[in-house]
Amino acid sequence: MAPELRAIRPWLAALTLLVLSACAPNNLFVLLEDDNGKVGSIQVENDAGAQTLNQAGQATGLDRAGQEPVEPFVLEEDEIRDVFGEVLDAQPEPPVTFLLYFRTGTSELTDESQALIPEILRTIDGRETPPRIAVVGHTDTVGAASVNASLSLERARTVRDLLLRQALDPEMVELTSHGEGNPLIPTADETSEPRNRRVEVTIR
Amino acid sequence: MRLVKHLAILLLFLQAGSAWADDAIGYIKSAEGTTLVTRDAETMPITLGDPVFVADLLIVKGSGSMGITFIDNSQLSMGSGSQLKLTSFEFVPKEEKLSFVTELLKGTLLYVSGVIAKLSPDSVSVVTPVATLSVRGTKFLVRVDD
Repeated sequence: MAPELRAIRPWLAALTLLVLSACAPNNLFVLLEDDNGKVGSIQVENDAGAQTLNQAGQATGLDRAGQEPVEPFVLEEDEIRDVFGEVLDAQPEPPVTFLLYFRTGTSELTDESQALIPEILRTIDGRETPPRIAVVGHTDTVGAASVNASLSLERARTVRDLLLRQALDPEMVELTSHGEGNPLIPTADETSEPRNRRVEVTIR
Repeated sequence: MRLVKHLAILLLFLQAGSAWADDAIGYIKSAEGTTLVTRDAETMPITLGDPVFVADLLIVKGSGSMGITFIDNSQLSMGSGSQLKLTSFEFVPKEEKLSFVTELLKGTLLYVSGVIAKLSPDSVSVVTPVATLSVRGTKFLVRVDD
């Protein structure tokens, strides 16, 4: 390399950095497509202004506190990896959820759901790190909310007891119930909806 | 007999309520490097499988990373030199108590939103020193580098 070129090399490197930092503000917000291929939206707001991101790869940001978030721009996948590769790789194994269904007004599992138990146990065995297992009871909106609160708990207990009978460590299993407050299919009150009469077993 | 039944239902509620009060809101599911938590004014190491609680300040000191899966299926991961405060977390759908607020003081964050954001998008936000993010779902990245 010619001596004069060698002399400007550090300057070139500095210039490259400058160009890069000009592309991406110090404080940076990037929307991604989620693991199911869906793109949500985030709003980035401060006293100076606000921007909404609603497309995959869209970004905004600002260099210093008090500045307005810049007009959204698109970052390419390799640019995103340059800045965020480490944190992207740190995402834990996604949770897996099984849905078990019940006969109306009871804590009796349907036959199909009963048959899912062995698969749940296999999934637990196959996790990368020792999992936590959440057993959460739900009801549809038929009947009083208070009755559904206790019915959803009874359903969760039925499933937990089934799992514990398969020699699962009770320390791994957490029991909760959401009554009619967390429907899978949103409905009006007093609506019979088999898909909402469920226990969700989530392996995290 | 009816009284007994009512008492039994009441007990069921009490039990479910207290379980929530002491329960962890999530667990560390990935950890590299020096990972710490500041809890009740004390800073200590936190590692794979450990629970996290409301008001925890999670720290990745120097080079490393940490990933947490929360009980509403949210997943938050932090990169090198990051500090994240778990400001509020409420997940009691039957009482319509839902909120999840975190504060990224510095570093990088990968956010995958969960059930709380689905049921109550207005109650989920990420606060940073330079701007506040309202979360309508689902997956995004943040870098705070002042």
